[in-house]
Amino acid sequence: MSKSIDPYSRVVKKTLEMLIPFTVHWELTYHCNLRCPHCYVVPQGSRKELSCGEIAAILDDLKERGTLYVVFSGGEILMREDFFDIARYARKKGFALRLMTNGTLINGAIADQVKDLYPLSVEISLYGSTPTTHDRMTACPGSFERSMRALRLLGERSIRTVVKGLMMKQNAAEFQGMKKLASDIGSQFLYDTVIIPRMNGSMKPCRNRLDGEELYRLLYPEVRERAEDGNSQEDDLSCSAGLNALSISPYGDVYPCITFKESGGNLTENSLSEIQHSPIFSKIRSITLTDLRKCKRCELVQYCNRCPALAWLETGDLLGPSKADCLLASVIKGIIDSKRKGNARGEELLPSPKPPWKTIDIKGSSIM
Amino acid sequence: MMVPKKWEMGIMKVEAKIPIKSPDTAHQIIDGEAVVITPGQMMVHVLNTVGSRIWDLANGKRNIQDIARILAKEFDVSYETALDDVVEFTGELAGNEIMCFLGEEQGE
Repeated sequence: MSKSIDPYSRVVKKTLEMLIPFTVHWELTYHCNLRCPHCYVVPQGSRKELSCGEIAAILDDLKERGTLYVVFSGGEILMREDFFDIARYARKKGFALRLMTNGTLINGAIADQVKDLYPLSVEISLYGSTPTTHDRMTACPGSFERSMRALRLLGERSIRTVVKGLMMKQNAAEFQGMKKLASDIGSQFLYDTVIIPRMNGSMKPCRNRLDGEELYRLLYPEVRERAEDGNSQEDDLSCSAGLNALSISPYGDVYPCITFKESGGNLTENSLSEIQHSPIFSKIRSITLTDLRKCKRCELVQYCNRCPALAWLETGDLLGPSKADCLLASVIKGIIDSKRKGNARGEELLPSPKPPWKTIDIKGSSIM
Repeated sequence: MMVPKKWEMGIMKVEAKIPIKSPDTAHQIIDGEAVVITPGQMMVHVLNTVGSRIWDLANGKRNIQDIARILAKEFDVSYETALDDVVEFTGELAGNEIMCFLGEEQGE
């Protein structure tokens, strides 16, 4: 008997099979008013960002090609004076918008304009639960208060907000505080522990990544709560990059995803179809579990959300493991194993002072 | 946009109503299937083949009769059957605030 799937999943499956760019992540600008040292963006000052007219023409094409979701991010999206012209045009075309911003430029009038866009969500990054920590991470005094004000203003207008926490050494101690802050203000809280290298290959931001012990302590309550009777994740390391998702830079370069900055072409010179069939897009699409020499044999595969782009950034090998993903998977496995042992003995195991993860050595990797 | 005389009189036969997509919806047609998102409710709706075609035709210019005529031809059914379907379907979508009728938009 065939397994029935819900209508939406069926449509998503079609977009994967038909290479329909269902989700487009568009970095509208690399200009930003904050100076976060961990940011991956490296502005290319001499290059000209796409104009509002060029963006509108691309949006027309994306509509024809089947795009539904458009994520606008930066840099800081509100650094573009024509941001609302672009966003209003996108809404007029019927795209579902997610807006990623630091929120510091949002006042009452801007929040009113955001409301008129009916966004799915406005996602604001927070780097701590206190002004001291957050402002140190953004290198911008007052940024915490302004981001919090934005969350309040948007919430007052019934706009769905998401607080996004990038957890690193400097703010790990404030993780629970950040969750509570988001909850108190009526926002969803999402977090990530993987800091990605800069676009120019520099691994400097990765110095702030949590080590295994820090990750274990941070994730213990989260993973334990989620893992009911074990991990239900299938041994699937597939990725939608280049299939039904792609990313566009402020200059019109098109990448398989936001992290994998290998351009398949530029929309001022190439058609989207040409780009989707470029060597880099074809290559990333062709990857199967069989190609992942190390990962396919790895005992952590069911705990892993392997990102090929991260592997490529860390080691230059699209098919190899990513050190950050390996560590994360190992920590998650350790927590789940610990829970299982605790359940078997009918007791609660506290975070182990010596967490049971193992460090996986990756040849050629270098975290500078 | 020119307002039909019937609107001015406050009398509107349902067949003459002009359906339009609610402005807060996000939507796309994938291989003939309309995916409609209502951000306020955070709901995703996938319409069936006939519903998707009605959604596509509801451009704020065609009235229900116009849409029914097109459907009758495309799906090889009688005009009356198509009209019943369009009236029922647009009414259902309007009830869910996914669609509205010109002159009856939310807040008016």
